[in-house]
Parts: sequence; C-alpha cells; structure tokens
Amino acid sequence: MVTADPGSFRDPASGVLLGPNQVYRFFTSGHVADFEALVETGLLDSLVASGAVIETKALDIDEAPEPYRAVPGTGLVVEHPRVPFISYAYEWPFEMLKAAAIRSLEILQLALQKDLILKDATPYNVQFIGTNPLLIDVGSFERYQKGAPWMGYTQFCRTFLNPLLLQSITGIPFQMWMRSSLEGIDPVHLNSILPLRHKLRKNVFMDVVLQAWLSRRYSSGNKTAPSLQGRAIPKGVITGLVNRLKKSVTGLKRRAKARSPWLNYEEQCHYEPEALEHKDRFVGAALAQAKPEVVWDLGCNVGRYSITASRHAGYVVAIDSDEAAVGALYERIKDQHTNILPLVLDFLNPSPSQGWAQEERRGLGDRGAANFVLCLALVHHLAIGGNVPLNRIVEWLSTFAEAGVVEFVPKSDPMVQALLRTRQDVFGGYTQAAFEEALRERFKIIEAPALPRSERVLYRFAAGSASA
Amino acid sequence: MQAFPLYIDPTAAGLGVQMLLAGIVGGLVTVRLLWGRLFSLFRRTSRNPEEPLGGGEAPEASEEEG
Repeated sequence: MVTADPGSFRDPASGVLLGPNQVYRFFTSGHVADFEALVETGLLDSLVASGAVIETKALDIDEAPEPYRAVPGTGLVVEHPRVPFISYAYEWPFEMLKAAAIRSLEILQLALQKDLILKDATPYNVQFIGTNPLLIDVGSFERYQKGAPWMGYTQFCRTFLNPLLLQSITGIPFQMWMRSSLEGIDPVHLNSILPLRHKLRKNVFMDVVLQAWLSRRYSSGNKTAPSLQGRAIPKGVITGLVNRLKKSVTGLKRRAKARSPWLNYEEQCHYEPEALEHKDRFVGAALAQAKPEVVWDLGCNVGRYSITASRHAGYVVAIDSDEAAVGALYERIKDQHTNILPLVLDFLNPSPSQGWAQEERRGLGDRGAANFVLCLALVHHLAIGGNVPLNRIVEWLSTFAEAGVVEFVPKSDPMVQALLRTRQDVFGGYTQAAFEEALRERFKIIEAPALPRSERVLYRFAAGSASA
Repeated sequence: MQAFPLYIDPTAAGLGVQMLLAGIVGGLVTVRLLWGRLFSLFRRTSRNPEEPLGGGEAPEASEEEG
C-alpha cells in the first residue's frame, strides 16, 4: 500500500509517497536535469557513500508505484529506504540540531564545488538514523545559476542558527519555541531578547541584528526592498557566507550555566550497589530473551539502559523530557551507537500532529510503536509529578507497547518523598497493589521481582491480560 | 538577473544581507584594483629612467652567490 506523505507538498518540483519499506520521490519533468546533474557530477554517490545523504536509486518508470505513473508531468521517480523512526527538530537536543546544521552546510559546500546548490535549508530535510544526521531530500539539489543568491539563507538562520544561538546565549532550550513555530525563530524576535554585548559579535550582528533591521525596514511592501531582480551575487560571496556560517555554528556551545540536575542522576546513585546490579541484570536478561526489533526507552536519562537495549534490539528510541540529559546521551554515543535515536519529549505533553491540516508533522503516537518498552523510574514522575492516575499511565503504555519492563517506585522511596516535599499528598491511589491491578488489566505480568535492599519492584510484562 | 524556480521566500532581509556582502566584496575588489594601479603609477614615476626594467639588483646578487 502506497500513500501520499501529507508533509510533502510545498515544493512543486518534487514530492513523496510512502511505501511499506520504501519511500518514493518524484521529480517533475522540468527538474529532472537537476537530479541528473547531481548524479553526473558524482556528488550523489560520494554523499551516499559517506552517510551524508540517504540511499537513492533511480527507478525505471515501469518500476515506479502506480500513482506516479498516472501523474502527468512526472519525469523521474527515485526510491529511498524508510527511516526507522521519523523525528523533528523540536525533539532534538542542542547537540543534534547543531550536528544537523553542520551536516547541511558541509553538503552545501561540496555542492557549490560541483556547481550545484541546496535551494532550501531546513532541519525537516534531515533525519537521524541513530546518531547520524542524513539529508533525506535529494530534491533540494539544483544546478547553481550564476549570479543567483542562496535562497535558503534566511531559512537556515530561522530554523538552524537562531534556535542554536537562543540556547547558546540565553540558556533557554529552543524546542518549545520550534514546536510552536515550524518556520523557526524570526530574527526580529531573537534580536529583541539578545543582550547587547552579544549583538555586537560579528556573526550575531550579520545574521540576526542586520536581518532583523532589514526585515523591519522592508516589512510593509517597501518598494525599495531588495528583490530577485537586484544585484547579482558572486558565487564567492555565497561560498564565503556558507563557510562563515559553518565556522559560527561549529563554535556554538550549550550554555554551561544551564546545567540540569538530571545529568548527575547516574552518579548520585539512588540504588544500593546490590539493587543496581540486580536491576541491570534483570533488564539485560529481559531484552536478551525478547530480542525486540524496536525498543522505546521512556525516561532514558543519559542512556544507561538504552545502551543495554542497543545490544539486543534492532533500533532503540531513547526518550527523556530533560533536554540536557538527552544532549549528554547523544554526545556519549554519537561515535559508537548508530541504532540509538535520542529524543527530547515530555510524556505529559508529547509532540502533537501539527502543521498544515494537522498532518504535516506527525504526533508521537502516529510514528510507530514499540515491540518492547523500558519504563524505568518514570511512573512516579507521571503519577506524582504530573497527577496522572496509575490506570491511565498503564492504558497509555498499552497504546504503543507490546511488552517491556516497568519499574514501580513506592511512596516510601526517597525520590517520591522528594516529589511530595512541597505539596500535599493527594495520591491515595498511588500504591503498588493499584499499579499491579492496572497492569494486569492491560498486560500479562511475567515476573515481578523486588529489588534487593529496596522497596522498588520491576515488572516484566507482555501482551495479553489476566482477564483475557 | 534570470528568473529562478523558487518555492521558498528568500525574504528581503536574506537577499539584502547577500547583496550587502556582494557590495562590500565588489567595493574591496575595486579599491584593491585602484590601489594596484596607483601603486604601479607611483613605481613608474619613482624609478630611475636609466635603470633597466626588472630592476638592477639581480646581477649583484648572483655575484655574491658566485
């Protein structure tokens, strides 16, 4: 079954259909020559070989899926493998957006050397396979035309540079802003919150302050505004601009003062050594037995159990709401674990379906399911920190999980006591018995060992319920 | 300038920055060109008319080397 990708409609030059194991991209007749140039220069092969661009195979028109053959004007169809799990820029920590930005600029540098250019520059053209950022939109390449500006410059600033500058300078995570504004952060808005001393930095001045000033100056249909019929831009100017942006992005760092307490969670061990050893062994054995294709590690922190899962699973989606912890996980594994995808998501308010017709960017629940979930030391945060009843938490797990391990942390535990320190205990229903009953309603409990020298309990569960 | 197939708005600000950079680069190239001409004019007027073109230092240097 092949369906149209509801997120692919903006560029009339090419579009996407989704197959069960493949993705198909068509080029309209007028833009086939751009793809041919990408192939003939050898750039496509070298970028695919280096893991910078998604594998791409041109199809004979007879091999193309039916809808394309029926579309008049289709000049070429190419096939890509499907990305294991689609993610969006507002689910990436600082380090991943930075890696995607650098990858986009590196590709653009190589393209310019071959007299090609990327006509757009958005993180929605990049997907991570594990920790590797991959350009998935080969329709972005076009032949460079002498004198033409780089059309994607402002888009790059809004969707890559400005979010990174926001977090690097102010310490405010960009994800919330990017989630609300799919077109990125307007230079006018960023300019209004940056401290003066940062505005005087060369790169900030050029890409934020100057753009904000020009944007305000030409905002109301000013007839003197620059247009495409204006001055020709020498190629050297574009090359210089891209080189400068790459240097600027490479130098950006997460603001040191905005350090998260969750970064030290593993070091400030909340388990007796014996209990931790038992937990490690139990989780490892459950994964080894299940050999799942896809694992979701919910509340992964800096990835202790995501790394364990990566040894037994095909692909691991490691999710946590703490942006700094996910960034630390990415840094920890970026050179070794290509089957772990770290993501920032708040389970109390996960990414919704949004964009045009609320289907351009898909919500978490519409992007797949897990054969196995790890839900370790998370339930008490949802139940006590987020006031979600235990049965609703288990019901939510059952919407995407076939099996897994879940940890119950009782009210007597110091971590739960810490959550209750500043608030009234209105959680009479938060008991181990109530949790077990809720779990039994939705799943089959296979085993439930208590951790030694602890009151915490691990539940290994699978599909099927006691009542079934 | 030619018409370019576009599906995103490069924005007046984005075009403005690139045109400004092009102007600065163009200006620098012009200044360098003019400076080069002025400098060569100055060299021509200050050179001893009896001195052969290419300077008279080379033979002396080769003597020292020899």
